[in-house]
Amino acid sequence: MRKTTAITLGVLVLAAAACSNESNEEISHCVDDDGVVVADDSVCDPGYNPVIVPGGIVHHYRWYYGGYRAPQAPGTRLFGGGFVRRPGAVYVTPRVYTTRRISVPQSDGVGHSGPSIDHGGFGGEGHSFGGGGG
Amino acid sequence: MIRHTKPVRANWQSIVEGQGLTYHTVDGQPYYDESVYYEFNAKQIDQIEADTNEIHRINLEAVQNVIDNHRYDELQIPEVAIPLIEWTWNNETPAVYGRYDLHYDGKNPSKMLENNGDTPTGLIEAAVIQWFWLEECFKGKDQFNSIHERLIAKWKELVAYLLLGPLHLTHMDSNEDYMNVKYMEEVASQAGLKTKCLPIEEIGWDKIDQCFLDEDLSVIRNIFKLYPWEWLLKDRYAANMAATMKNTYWIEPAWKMILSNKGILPILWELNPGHPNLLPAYFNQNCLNEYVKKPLFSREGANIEIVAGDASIKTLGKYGTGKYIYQQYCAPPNFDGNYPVIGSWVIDGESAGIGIRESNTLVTGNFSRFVPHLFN
Repeated sequence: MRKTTAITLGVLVLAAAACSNESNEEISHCVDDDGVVVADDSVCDPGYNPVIVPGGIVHHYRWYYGGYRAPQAPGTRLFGGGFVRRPGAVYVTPRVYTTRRISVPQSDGVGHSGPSIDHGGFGGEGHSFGGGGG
Repeated sequence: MIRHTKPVRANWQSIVEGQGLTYHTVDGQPYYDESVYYEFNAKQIDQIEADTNEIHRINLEAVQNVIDNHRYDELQIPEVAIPLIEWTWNNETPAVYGRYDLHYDGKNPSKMLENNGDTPTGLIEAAVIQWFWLEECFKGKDQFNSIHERLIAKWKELVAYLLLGPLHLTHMDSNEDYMNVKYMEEVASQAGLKTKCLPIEEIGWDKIDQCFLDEDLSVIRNIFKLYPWEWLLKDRYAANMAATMKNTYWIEPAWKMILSNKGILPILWELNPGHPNLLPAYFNQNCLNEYVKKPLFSREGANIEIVAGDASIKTLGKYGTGKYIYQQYCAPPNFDGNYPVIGSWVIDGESAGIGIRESNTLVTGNFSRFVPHLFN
């Protein structure tokens, strides 16, 4: 036999279960023709769509459903979700998601304080692309 | 090599979700598609295995050639990366896995299409999901897939080589990246390692002690990432990585930048002209009439152009601003309009199993379907 004899899973099953518990609620992002998150999600409102800019160029903005565990910054190209709503899912916009998180009391912030500690030096380039795997 | 269709399991979505594949459906269409499977015979599997080992051997030789001859400019590898590449290569810092994408038609030797040695995904599907599918649907049949066992074995071996402290694993926000990292945490923890997962944005830098920290202010000394080297080296902490390269093991190591760079393809052809497992490739169009034009840095089929008569096609993406390579076009095997590409996994330097991505277009992209396989 050339295959693995037995597989037992623990960490992965827990992570999947955690995703499932959260799975009724997912994030929807407003994206442009290239699937890139736009800053003003009101352009995804049917009343604004499509947007015709001077020169007659037509831009279509659409809601992109799921694929991410947290809101993605404007300019991020999205993968792994889709333009079809998942049956049973409840979608929230990044603005709603973020507002709600901020209103929840946070933990003591250990690890994020102190003048000698800097954060956020990784991940910036990745936000232009959405995901690093291939 | 035969393509079969088969009814899917009634509750396949919840089955695979329970096994870790939470991203099985994209745009309402299955990304994991068990309505199809491929059947091989043992001779074909032997061929893929031998081809993969040979391809990996010549790829490592090509890496050595790039380093010995300082060919970094040809690959557009930035200056800041060179000490990292050379340190990790010369000191053999931990490297675990990689995936070669192969053209294979069941008759002729496999041809290397490209390598993803730095941030390969599709791991859960290949290692776990198709294994459970086989156990449930074709008990007693074989599959070329010892990925799970070999990953655990590799991490066990690394216990003695890793630096003091836990193995950190870092991910981006996408579900696919997150679950692939959690799977790597799974096999590392089964190997006996203490593990900690964190988002890449949460990695901190201690300006006094000059080291990377996690969210609990623990020093990061061994870190598995699913974030490409070329992005790390454009981020603000790039210089810090070079400064701490002897105190922090990044897995996969920096020399994988060479292996996952499409510029390795012309170098391979230059070093091994006429090799049966390679397609002719050049840094310019050269004498190729039908070719695939690929950016040096590209993922998931983005910014690819195929020039081949009626088969010509061009994909969009954000990777198109740099140098390109040209690889001879080789029509993929066509199963009623479905084009499979073999993803051949290498773990600890050896061929360890395959996963198949099937597309309805000539370019295997982000939305190509993963389909299981078996062999007799």
